[in-house]
Amino acid sequence: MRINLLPEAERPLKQNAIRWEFLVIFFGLVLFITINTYAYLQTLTIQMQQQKYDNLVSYGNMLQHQYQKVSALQNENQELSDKIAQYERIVRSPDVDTAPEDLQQIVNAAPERVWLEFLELGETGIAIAGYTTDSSLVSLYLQRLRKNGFDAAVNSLNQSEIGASLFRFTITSQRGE
Amino acid sequence: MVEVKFAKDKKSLLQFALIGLIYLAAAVSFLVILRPRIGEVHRLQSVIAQEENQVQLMERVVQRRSQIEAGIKEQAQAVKAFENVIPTADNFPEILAAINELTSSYRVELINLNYLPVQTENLDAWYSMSLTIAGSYGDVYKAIEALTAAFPSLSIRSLTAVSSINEQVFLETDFNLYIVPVEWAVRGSWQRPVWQETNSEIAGAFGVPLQYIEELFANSLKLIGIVRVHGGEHRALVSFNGTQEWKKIGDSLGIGTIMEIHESELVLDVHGVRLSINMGGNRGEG
Repeated sequence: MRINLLPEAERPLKQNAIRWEFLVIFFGLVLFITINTYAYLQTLTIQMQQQKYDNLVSYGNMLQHQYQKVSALQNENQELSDKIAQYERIVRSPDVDTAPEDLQQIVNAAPERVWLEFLELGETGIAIAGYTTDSSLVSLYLQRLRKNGFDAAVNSLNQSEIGASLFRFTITSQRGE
Repeated sequence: MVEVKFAKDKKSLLQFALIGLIYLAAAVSFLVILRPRIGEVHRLQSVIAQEENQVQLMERVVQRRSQIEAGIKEQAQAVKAFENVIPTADNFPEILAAINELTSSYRVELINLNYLPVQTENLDAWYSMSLTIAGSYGDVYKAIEALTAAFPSLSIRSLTAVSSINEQVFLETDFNLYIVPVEWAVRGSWQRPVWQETNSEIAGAFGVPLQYIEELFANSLKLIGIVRVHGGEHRALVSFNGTQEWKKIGDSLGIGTIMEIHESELVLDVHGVRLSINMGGNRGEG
């Protein structure tokens, strides 16, 4: 039997024991290498990204020329659109403006033996004056006007001074919806 | 014994210095080398994303080039079509000449054609005009219809038709004729209208003004007597304007024409209005 008389701190380490200093140094070295390796990889990434950026800038510059041309075309297109909008606005709309067709419809609606003397189509409405030999024909005329889309009403209906068989009438009307 | 202890302390110090150096090197590597590179990578990623967005935007715009060019072609045609029919201020003398031509082409009489100098508001520019024409209803209607068809930018403010004696109708219209804005005007784009006369007959319900018929009777029109002459024809003795005259069918009487003479009545036609006049008096009749 062998007895180690050395103090415990002086005794050699067991074969499977690892010094803490070694572990700390090893971990420090691993950390150092990892950081630098990662930094190197980042350098490569930067180079790749820089290359990609340069390519993009170069492609962008090439596109810029075409883009400016297309932008000029877009401006031209917009100017034409503005012109068309203006022209469409000033071109007469039959639904809104007074049209000769309205005049013809009002004249055509008059039954036989109804004679017109005066017809005015204005912004405020329509005024019709005429005469007939049969007062019931005025009602027929109103019906026909309404059928053609005019909201018409008799304003006056008077017997003429020359005899019982002539009636003077006035009608006011509006273009219906 | 002292020497051994000194040697041991020196070894420990060296170990700590080595450990410190390694960790210091790692820290310096992180701060001086790695961290700026990570920052640079992020910066580059950001500017690349920004540049990619810009490139994509430009690509999208550039890809639409053919579509935009087709749109321009189509819109240019539409603009040209409008400018063919919407006159410019330079065309005004031609417009007046065209309106004069219109009246002769449609056999109507030009009573007056008035206009104000060109007016503008924002992009709108227009001539405020008034036109009075006279003729048969069918002709004045066809003339005004042709005018509005030839000038689509003509906006009628009012349209007045008044009947007159001899079956004439006076048609007066106030309108705004919108023109191409001065800054867009292209010389020579407007096509002067060519008036094409149509042969279609348009009947109108305009009659002679009642006032004339009333005046006819106000002038003491009276049927005094009727006689039958050889051949069975009737003659009527009519008092009109203070004179007495024998009349037969077809003779004119004031603004009317005698259509029929019966035993005790006379039928007068005043531009389509048939009036029956009884012996000794008068009355209107259809």
